[in-house]
Amino acid sequence: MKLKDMTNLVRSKNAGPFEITIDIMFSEPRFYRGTIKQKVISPEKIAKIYGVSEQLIRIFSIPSIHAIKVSFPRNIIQGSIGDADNHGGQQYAPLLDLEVDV
Amino acid sequence: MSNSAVRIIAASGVLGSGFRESSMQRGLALKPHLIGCDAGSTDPGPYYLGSGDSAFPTASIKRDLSIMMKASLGAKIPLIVGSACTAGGHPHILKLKMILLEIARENNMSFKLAIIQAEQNKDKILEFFHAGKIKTLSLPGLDHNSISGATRIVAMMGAEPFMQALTNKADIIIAGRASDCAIFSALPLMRGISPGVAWHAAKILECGAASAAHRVTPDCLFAELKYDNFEVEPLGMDMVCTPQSVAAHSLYENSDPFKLTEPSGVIDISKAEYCAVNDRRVRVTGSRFLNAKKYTFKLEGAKLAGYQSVFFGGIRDPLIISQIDDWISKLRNKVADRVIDVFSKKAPYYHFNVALYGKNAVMGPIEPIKDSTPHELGLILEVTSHCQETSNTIISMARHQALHLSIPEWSGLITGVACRYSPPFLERGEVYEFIGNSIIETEDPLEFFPCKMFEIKEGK
Repeated sequence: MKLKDMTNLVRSKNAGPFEITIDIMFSEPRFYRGTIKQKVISPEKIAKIYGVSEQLIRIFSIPSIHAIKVSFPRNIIQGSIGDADNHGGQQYAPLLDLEVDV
Repeated sequence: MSNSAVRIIAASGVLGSGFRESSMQRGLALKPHLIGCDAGSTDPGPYYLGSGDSAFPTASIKRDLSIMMKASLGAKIPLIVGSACTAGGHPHILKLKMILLEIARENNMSFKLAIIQAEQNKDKILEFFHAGKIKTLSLPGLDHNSISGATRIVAMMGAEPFMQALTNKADIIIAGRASDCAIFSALPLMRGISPGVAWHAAKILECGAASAAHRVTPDCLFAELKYDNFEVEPLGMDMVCTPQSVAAHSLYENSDPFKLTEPSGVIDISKAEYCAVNDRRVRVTGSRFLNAKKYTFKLEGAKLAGYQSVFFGGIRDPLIISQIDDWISKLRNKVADRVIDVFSKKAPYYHFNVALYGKNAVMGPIEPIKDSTPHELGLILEVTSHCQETSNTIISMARHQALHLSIPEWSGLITGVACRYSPPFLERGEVYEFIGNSIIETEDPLEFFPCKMFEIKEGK
C-alpha cells in the first residue's frame, strides 16, 4: 500500500526559515505501526530523497495520534535566490508513493 | 498557586487574516481577561523583515484591530498584539501604530498604550557577538560580516516585556517581534497559573482556531486556564476541538513535536494528555515548562540580496520540449555571451535562474521523476543583480535569446516561446535573504525590548 492511501494528511511546512518539517498523520493505528515496524521513514531514506546528510535528520514517532514527524535543514534558506517553495508547502510529495506492506 | 481561572480570547491566527465578529461577541460573553493576537511570522519570507512592509494589507489589519479594540475597551480587559505587521521591526510598529491611532480617532477612544520595540541596534549586536554571547543554532550563524551587512535585525521577546507593560496598566500593548506564545502566557503567569499550563495553552492559542478539527475559516479560539489544566474551544459554533485535533496541532510548523524553546525555557508537552470535556471543548493536563538558566532570544535578520526581474512564458513545441535540458544550457551560454557583449569589461555580477514548471520547478535537482514528457512547459527566467536597471537589461536580453533560440530540427528563424505579457517581464524590485540562525544570551529579559507608554485621549 502507498503512504498516500494510508494517511489522513501528509504535509510539509517551514519550521522557521532554516528547516522543513513534514507531518505524516495515519488514518489507522495499524498503518502507523506497520510504517514504524518496517522503517519506511528512516534517516537513510529521507537523506536519499531530500539530498540532506543523515546526521541532520530528526524523526519523531507520536503514538498518541498515530503520526510521524520528520524535520531537516533546508538545502536553500527560505526565500533566498533559487528557493522555489517559500513556505516549504510542497516538499512532502516524494513521500506519497512510498510502499508499506500491510 | 492560584485557584482563580484566567480566560483568554485569541482573535485569529494572524492579525489581518480575519475572524468572525459573532465569535468575538460569543467570547466576550464568557468574561475573558485578555484578548490577544499574533501578527507576525517569518513564513511570508525575508522581504517583509528587510523592506519594512507588512504581508497583510492595511485594510484587513484595520478591520480586525478595530473589532478587537472595541471588544477590549468595552470589556475593560487588555489587548495584546505581538510581532507587529509581520516582522516586528521599527517600520512595522510604526505602521501598526498609525492604523491603531486612526481607529482610535474615528471612534473617540481613550486608553493607555504600551509600545514595545524589538528592532536591534547593529553596534550593540556586534558587541554581544564579540563578547561570545551570540550562539549559532545551525549553520550559517551570524558573524561580524553578516551583522554589519544586515538591513534589519530583530530579537524575539519573551513574556517579561508584556508582563511589565501589563503591570504598568497598559490597556493596549503593541509589540515588535515576539514569541507567539508570550503574547498569551504573560497574563496567566502573572496570575499564578503554572508555567506548563500557561505556555502550552499559549501555544494552542497563538494559531487562533487552527487547532479545530476542521478549521472552516480563520476565527477566534477561547481558553480557560486553571492552575494545573486548561480547556480550549473554538468560538465559531460550526467548529469543534477534539483531543486528536488539539494534540495534532502541536506538530504544526514546529520541528520538534514535544519540546518548544521559548526565551525563558522549554515547553515540554511530551506528557500532555488531552480529553474531551464535551463535543467541542478539550481539557489538557500534564504540560510542563523547564526554566532555562539564561534568557536566549532568537535573532532574525534580513539583508538585501539585490534587485530582481522575471519573465514568464510557455513552450508548446514538442521538438523543443524533447531537448529542453540542452535548450536551457544553450540559453545560459547565449545570455552569458550577450552580457559580455553589452557590458563589455564592466560585466556586472548577476544571478540568472531558469525554472521549468511542468518539469522540476518545485523540487529542483531532487525531483525523483526524471523522465516525464509534458505537452507544455511553463518557463520562468529570473535575473537578480545589484541594480534594477541591470536586471531589466539582462532579463530583456535573456527573453529575446530564448524567443528565437534555434534547434537543429527547424531551419530558419523560429519563435519558440509564447510570451504572455507586453512588456514581457516584471520588475520585482528589491529582494532580501534571511541571515544567520542565531540566539543572543542575556541575564535581563527586558534588555533588548524598550517599552514606552502613551496616554491616548479621545483618539489623540
